[in-house]
Amino acid sequence: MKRMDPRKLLRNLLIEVVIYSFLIVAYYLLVLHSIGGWLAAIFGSNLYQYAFIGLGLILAQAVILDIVTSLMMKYIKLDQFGIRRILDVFSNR
Amino acid sequence: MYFPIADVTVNPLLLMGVGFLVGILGGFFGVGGGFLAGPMMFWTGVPMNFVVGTDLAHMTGKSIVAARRHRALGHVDFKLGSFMILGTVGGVELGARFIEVLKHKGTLDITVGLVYIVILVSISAFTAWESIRAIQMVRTDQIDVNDAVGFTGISKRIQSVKLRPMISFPVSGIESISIWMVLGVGFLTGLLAGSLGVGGGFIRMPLLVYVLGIPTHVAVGTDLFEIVFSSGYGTITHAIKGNVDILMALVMQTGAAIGAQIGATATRFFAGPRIRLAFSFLPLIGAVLVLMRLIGGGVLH
Repeated sequence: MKRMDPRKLLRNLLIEVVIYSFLIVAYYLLVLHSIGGWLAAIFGSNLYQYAFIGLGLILAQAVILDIVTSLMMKYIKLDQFGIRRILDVFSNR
Repeated sequence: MYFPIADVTVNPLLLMGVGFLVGILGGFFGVGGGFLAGPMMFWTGVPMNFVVGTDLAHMTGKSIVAARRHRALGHVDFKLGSFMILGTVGGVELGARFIEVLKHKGTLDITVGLVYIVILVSISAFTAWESIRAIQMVRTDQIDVNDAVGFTGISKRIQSVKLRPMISFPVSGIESISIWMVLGVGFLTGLLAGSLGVGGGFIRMPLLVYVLGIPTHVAVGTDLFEIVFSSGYGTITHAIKGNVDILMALVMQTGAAIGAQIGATATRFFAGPRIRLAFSFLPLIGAVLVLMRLIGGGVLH
C-alpha cells in the first residue's frame, strides 16, 4: 500500500470529524433540542411508555448514525485516506 | 442545555465529547465505556441515579453498532454470549433494586461512588500488571502475541472444575467448562451493570480473558454482544423506576457514533496484551473524577 504523508492523513481525519460535527449540530438543533418537552411529558405521565419509547429512540438513532457515518466514509472515499490510512501508517512504524 | 427529566443543566458539547471518547473505547477495547462515562456524568453534576440509568441507555445504542462490526469480523461467540445473558439479566435486576434501596436511604452517592473507586483502581492495577507480564512473555518465550496471557493459571483451574452440566464453546476454543462458571460471570457483571450503570465490560473483559480463558479478540466481540442485552434490559428497568434521561443519552450517543467507527477499526492494528495495557490506565481517570465530585459535592469531607 502506498504510504502517505502523516500530515495529509491527519488533515483527512480532521475533515471527517468536521463534516460529521456539522451534521450532528444540525441534527441537534432540528431534532434533539425540540423533543425534550415531549419526552418530559411522557416521563411524567407513563413510565412504562417512556421506557419503551426511550429504548426505541436510542436503538433507532444508533442505527441511523451508524449508516450515516458508514456512508460518509464510503462515498466521500474518506475511509481510504482518513482513519484507516492513519492507522496503517502508524502501525507500520 | 436544561434537561428537564434529570432536572440538571449540562453543556451538550461536553456530553457529545464524553460520548465520542467512550465510543472509541467501546469499539477498541470491547467495553461500553460506562466506567468512564458514568464518573464523567457524575462529575458534571448529574444525580447518581440518573448517571446509572442514562449511562446504560446510551450504551445500548452504542454497543449494538459496535457489536455488529465485531460480528462481521467473526469476533462474537454467540453461544457463550447467550448463556452469559441468562446470568446477566438476573444480576441487572438485583442491581437496579439495590439502587432503589440506596436512593430511599439517601446513601446512593457515597455508596456507589466508593464502590466505583475501589473497583476501578483494582481493575487498573491488575490489568497493568498482567499485560506487562504478557508482553514480557512475548519477548522472552517468543510466543504468538495473540496467545499471550500473563495469567493463565486461573482459567485452567476454572475449566478443570467438573460441576455439571458441562458445556463446550468451540468458537472460544473451550472444550469443556461448567455452565455455572459462565452463568456466575454473567450474574456478577449484571449486578455491576444494574448497580453502577455500566455495561460491565470493564469487569467482564478481564473475567472472560483471565477466568474463562477466552482469546482477547473473541472476548471483545462477545462482551459487546452481551452489553447490548445487559444495558438494554437495564435501560428498561431503570426507566420504569424513573432513573433514565433519554434526551441526555441521545445527545451522548451522537458523539459515540463516530468514536465507535474509529475504535472498531483500530482493533485490527493492535494485538492482545497491548490492548490490555492501553486499557489499564483508563479506569483510574474514572476513579479520580468520582473522588473529585464526592469531595466537591461535600459527600466526602
